[in-house]
Amino acid sequence: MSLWRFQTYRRVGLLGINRRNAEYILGHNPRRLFPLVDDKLATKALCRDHGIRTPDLYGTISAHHEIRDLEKMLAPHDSFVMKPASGAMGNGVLMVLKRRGDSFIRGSGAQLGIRDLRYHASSILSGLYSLGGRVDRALIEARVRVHEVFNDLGEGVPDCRVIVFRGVPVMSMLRLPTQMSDGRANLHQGAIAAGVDITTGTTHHAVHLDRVVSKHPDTGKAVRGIQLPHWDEILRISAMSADMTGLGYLGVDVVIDADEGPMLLELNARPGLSIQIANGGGLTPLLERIEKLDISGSTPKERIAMARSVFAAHRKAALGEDRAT
Amino acid sequence: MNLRVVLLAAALAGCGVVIVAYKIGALGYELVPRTTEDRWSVQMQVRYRGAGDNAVARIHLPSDREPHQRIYDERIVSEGGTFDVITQDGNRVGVLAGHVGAQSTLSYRFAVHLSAREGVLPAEAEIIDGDLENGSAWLEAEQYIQSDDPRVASRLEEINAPDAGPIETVRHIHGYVTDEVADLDFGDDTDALTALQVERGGPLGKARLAVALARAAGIPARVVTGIDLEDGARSEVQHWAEVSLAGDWHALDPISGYLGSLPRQRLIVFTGDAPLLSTAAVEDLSFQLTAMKEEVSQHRLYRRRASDAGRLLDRVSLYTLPVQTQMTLRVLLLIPFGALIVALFRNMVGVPTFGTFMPVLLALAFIETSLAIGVALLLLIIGVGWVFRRLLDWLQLLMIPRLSFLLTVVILIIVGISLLSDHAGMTAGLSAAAFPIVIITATIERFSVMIVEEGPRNAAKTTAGTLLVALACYALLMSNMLQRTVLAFPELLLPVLGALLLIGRYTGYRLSEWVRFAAFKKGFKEA
Repeated sequence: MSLWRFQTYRRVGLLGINRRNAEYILGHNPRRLFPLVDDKLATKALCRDHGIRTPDLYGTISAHHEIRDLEKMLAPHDSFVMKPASGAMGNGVLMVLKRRGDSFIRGSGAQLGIRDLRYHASSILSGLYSLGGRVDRALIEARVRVHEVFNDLGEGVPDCRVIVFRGVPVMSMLRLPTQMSDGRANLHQGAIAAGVDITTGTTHHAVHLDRVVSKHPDTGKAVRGIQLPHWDEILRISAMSADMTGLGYLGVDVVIDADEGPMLLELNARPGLSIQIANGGGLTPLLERIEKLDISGSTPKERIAMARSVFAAHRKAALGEDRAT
Repeated sequence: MNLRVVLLAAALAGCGVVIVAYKIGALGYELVPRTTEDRWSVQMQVRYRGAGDNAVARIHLPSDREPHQRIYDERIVSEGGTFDVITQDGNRVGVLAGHVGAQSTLSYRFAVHLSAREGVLPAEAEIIDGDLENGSAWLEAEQYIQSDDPRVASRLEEINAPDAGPIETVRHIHGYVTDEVADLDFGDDTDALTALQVERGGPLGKARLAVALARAAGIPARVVTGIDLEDGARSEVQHWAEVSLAGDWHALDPISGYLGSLPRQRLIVFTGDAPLLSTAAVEDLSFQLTAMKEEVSQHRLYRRRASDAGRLLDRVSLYTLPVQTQMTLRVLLLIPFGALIVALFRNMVGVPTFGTFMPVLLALAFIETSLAIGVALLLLIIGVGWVFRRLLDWLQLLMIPRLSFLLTVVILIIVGISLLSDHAGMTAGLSAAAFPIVIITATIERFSVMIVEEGPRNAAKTTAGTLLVALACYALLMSNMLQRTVLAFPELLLPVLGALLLIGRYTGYRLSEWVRFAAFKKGFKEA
């Protein structure tokens, strides 16, 4: 029991929450840009202007009296997702898989009536799930169909988080929901996080509740060595997100639809640090390398190339260090 | 770390330290102020609105009674009326005359030096001429001291031996009124005869009875009114009796049981059967009494000011403020230290809490309620509130009305606790109202949402974190020593500002990350 562990963390280059806030968020993310990512409707509009796909928007509810029209809005759709426009950490996301008679079947199998959906919409509008409890809007969008690569990898939709610094993708992870996480991709609630090799798009390392795992706890399927489809498009979406928002330090959440391919789900101006656990490595050495790059006037394509060379150089240095010790 | 921040922090801390050093070195302040055992700062405040043409408030003011009681540094601030000090029946009386409809305020501040009264009753004494001179008026019956009533005389016969001398008689009267007459806590306007008949009375009633019995025995006696000084706003007005023996007045206190001497902290205000404060044609009357133990530094400051040698820093000293304000500032000045603790716990240790300053507010509430009771009440309120919040889930209410409903429930819980504890005769629960109600309501809401979204474990962890930080703040805010030190040296807030700057730019790991990143304890995992 000693604080030596912090020295190990420093050698690995783990980014702590204080340094992330002070140097990367306060230093690279101007406050005035936050509304672009805190409001999913604003993000969606931005994506449309920049040719980035997002799940189809079925409708929005901005005021309580519009809740009366909810049934009409939902009528053409058997499955959909209702979520707060400015929710955080996946709070308040309600996914309906199908209908049975008058009731709606959730991802977890629970049955809901239209009354429950109305109450949920009203909770969202009241700001129950929004940052700081502010009045919010509810949006209803298409449910993403799970790509076949993720068959037998648990219920719910896996999503891919990419950290982008100065427009250069830095680190990525795939979040796989489990029964324990109730179909949600939240790591604290027991979702699996698998580190994704930024150069190839394959998972190379995975943790479940902070323990290294190689198989999905529900299905036993291997969680390492999964090749994400459309990896180049995921990197392109990530690099472009930085351009369209102007945020220097950004978390980009991408889902892969079986038919439509990668779609941007949401952006995060304060991305979490667990991605380091998922990858078994720290962010700091990569961020420090990217800090030195000259990115002025570069295209997303050029920055993706930079990302690959940064990662290769880092891996070489880390291997060299390991050999030396 | 940013050099500018470090320099600024160092400059702030440096300023604070220099001022403290100057005050200690040149002005004779003490770093850890010692309180004097016998010097007090006292403030009496009267406030009223005139309701008639001759609106007036008369308040008895204490005077020197060498060698036991010496008053100095008196200061009177009156507003909205004329103020005069007159002498009446040998007592000093402050008269505040106001106008119809106008607010009149009198703030009377003074410092007092009390020394021990080690008086004992003389071993043997007759009633001498001096006593009668002292007390020609102190043998007559008065409106509320019916010493000429035959019932008083017959009771005196019952409790006193027929051939007892004055000393023995006084002892018998003291023993009877102290032990046989029960104490009443309220309704203290009992006259001597009533107290005698029901054998019950408050301090004034018992004092009147003692005086009546003494006068019936031919011993000059009078009622005395004073104040038991206590640090804070809890000083109490007291009444007792004095008897004249062998030319000297001797105290006979049927409440505390003192005979011939008095409690050390007792300030004598006036003699005679009259109220401390009397008014005519006023409304909205308020009277406040605050006392504070004086500190050595403070005493030196008074002495310097008396000799006109005050320096600038003396003049801006907080000791020159009204006592009541000083009491408030003592706690107020510690709040930044509490905020510093919150910052330390949240940013360097990584303890989760509900709301940023909730722990500080809770600590302030705990000071009112006392710790164990405060924690118990808090958990009770949150627990019951949470049950109601769960019930509200069924009704599917909109958020603002739901929160308002919850707020009302919280207030009802607090009212319920107060009623129950009053009926059970416990004063502890009565302080539940000290809690920051709005913030507790928000916490209940946050707590119940957290249980659903992040699991009961996280909710419990955050609750424990909030309590832990609140306890740390409480320990700090309760420190009498720190309270005094910061009141003497408010410039200590400058180093606090410096420390906050440093924490604000601390980019190292949080202690909680020691656990959070435990997967890395063996270093890098080969990809």
